[in-house]
Amino acid sequence: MATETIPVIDLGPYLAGEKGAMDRTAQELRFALTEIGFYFIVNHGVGREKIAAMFAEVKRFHDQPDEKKLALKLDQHNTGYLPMRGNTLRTSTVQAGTKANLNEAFFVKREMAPDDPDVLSGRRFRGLNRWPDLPGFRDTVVDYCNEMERLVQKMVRLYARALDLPANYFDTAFSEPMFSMRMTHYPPQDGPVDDEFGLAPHTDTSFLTLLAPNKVQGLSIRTQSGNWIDAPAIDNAYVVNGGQMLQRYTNDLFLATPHRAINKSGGERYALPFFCDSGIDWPVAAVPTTVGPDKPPKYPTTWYSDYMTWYLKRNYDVLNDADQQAAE
Amino acid sequence: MSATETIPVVDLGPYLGGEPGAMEHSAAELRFALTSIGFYFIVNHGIPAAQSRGVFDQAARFHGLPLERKMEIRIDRHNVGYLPMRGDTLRTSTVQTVTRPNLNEALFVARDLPDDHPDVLADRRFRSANRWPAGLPGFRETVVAYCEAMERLVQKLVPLYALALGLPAAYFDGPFRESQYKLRMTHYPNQDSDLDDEFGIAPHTDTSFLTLLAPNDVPGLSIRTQSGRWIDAPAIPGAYVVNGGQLLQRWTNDFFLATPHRAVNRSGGERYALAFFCDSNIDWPVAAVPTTVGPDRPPKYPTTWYTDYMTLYQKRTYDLLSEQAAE
Repeated sequence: MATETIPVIDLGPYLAGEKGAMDRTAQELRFALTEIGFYFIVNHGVGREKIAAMFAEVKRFHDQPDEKKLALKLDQHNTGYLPMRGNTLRTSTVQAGTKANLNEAFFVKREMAPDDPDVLSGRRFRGLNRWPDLPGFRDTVVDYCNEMERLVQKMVRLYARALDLPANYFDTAFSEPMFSMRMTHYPPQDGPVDDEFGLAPHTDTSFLTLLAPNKVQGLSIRTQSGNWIDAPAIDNAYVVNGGQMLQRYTNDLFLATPHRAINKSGGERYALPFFCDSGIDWPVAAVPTTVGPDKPPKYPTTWYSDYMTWYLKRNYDVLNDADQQAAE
Repeated sequence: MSATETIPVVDLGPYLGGEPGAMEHSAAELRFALTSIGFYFIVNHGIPAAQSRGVFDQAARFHGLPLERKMEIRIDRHNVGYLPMRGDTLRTSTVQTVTRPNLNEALFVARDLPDDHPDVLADRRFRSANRWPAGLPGFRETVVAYCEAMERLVQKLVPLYALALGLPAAYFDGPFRESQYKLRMTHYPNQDSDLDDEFGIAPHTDTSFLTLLAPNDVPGLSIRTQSGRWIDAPAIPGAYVVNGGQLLQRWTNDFFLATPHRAVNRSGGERYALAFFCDSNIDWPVAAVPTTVGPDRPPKYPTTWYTDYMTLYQKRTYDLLSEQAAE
């Protein structure tokens, strides 16, 4: 029952608290996540001006001279600046041995207090953000992340219902979710080069990814039949998809669909994916409605830190350099 | 898994007082207890002695009513109300087959839902209004206040269960936000006979995630240790007895024990007991937590829900209900 079309889900009735809307929307979400692994959301409640402000900031960041950006080079928490061609997707199960990705990106995580115990102890993935010297940048980005976090906290109730679980099943797991805001710049790509991508085919690691509405196209996804289709432009719609952690949470009931990005627009392209996962201490394992004595968990229980440590080590050249530096 | 022949005593004082490290320390004690014997005592639990004594008084007062008054609130399909003497046989017991009906009478009270609660209006099973005895002023208030105190205590205990299972402390907060519970107010008359298959309550395991048995001046409880011996629970002043049941086994893929126990009252006088059985929310799935399963260690039990599990269990255990259903 696979589909070749990315469903559009109207969150309006659910967010307004209309009777029956939660379960109806959850059914749409279940269809999307079992048949194609991607969906659009409209009437999501995020103000256009907040999205526009973020696009302005991502451009502003990447317009800085390289030395400014490199001063914030990606660290072991995976926050900071990843230069152009800084990573190759080695763990990709989708396409092996592509060229380094033709994008540069700035990563922001939850804004931690400097005296947070995790910051003080240097706990991985719980470090301080690294901010550029651009007035207003930090406020805009932190505000947007907060907005995304609140939206995710509303959406996980739909995921719970889509999995036949009580609506609040994921509430505690997502009371302080892990997230990573990626602010990407894709320069225009001229030639059709088979193995060069803005972002090579891959699946995300996340429970869910919220990709901000974009006027410049570039995203393609691979459907269950193996076709690559371009994501259509839908005004003010977020693109949502699940990743490897969602597969683990659902014992592969929900898909982590391969996707890629190529910027053939002729101009610059910016993208704003927000990757979100459950709290850092929450175990990632198949939920009760997806397992049983005759349907054992396919994956061992894991935790965000363990999984991401493994994943990042394999994918980020720049981090491997950093590891070498650490070894020196 | 090491076994012990002694019921451990867990001092909750430091944990409830917020002392650093106390939570982890208590959780480790609890893990030992629940993997080695399946029972533990708690002391410094914060429930005033006067409060549990007050509920014992109410239990005696209720059971002192004439039988016809008690039968007015006979136990219903929600398992609330009055269960008469010898009203149940533990047919589902995996511990001892077909004993005589239990020599006790009991009043069961659940969360005191208002009459206009949607679940009450829908007659949702195990979510009914309570059945209160008429003409006992103060009874309901005392019992409801006690249930609320027990529920709060459970909400403080479940973080210890979470840590004991290698989970974040908040892991059970969601499922125990509005838990399913039953307070059983039991009267065990003195047993003179030497019949070895008659019990106040025959050997059985509970169904619960956890059971809190109020401190009792009159002994009567015995438990079967992992070695197969029956030992009497000692009298520890002010201590609650805590144990897990079949749903705890399911939550932990049998990592935690549901230990068989029984009660016989040979004290020469009346014995009352106050057992508070507590489970996760009625809509929460009951399945092995992530730290107890994996590809090479599949769940032993299918995922279940409180209602499904209890419907099956009650049907097999309570004669009265079967008769009513057959009528």
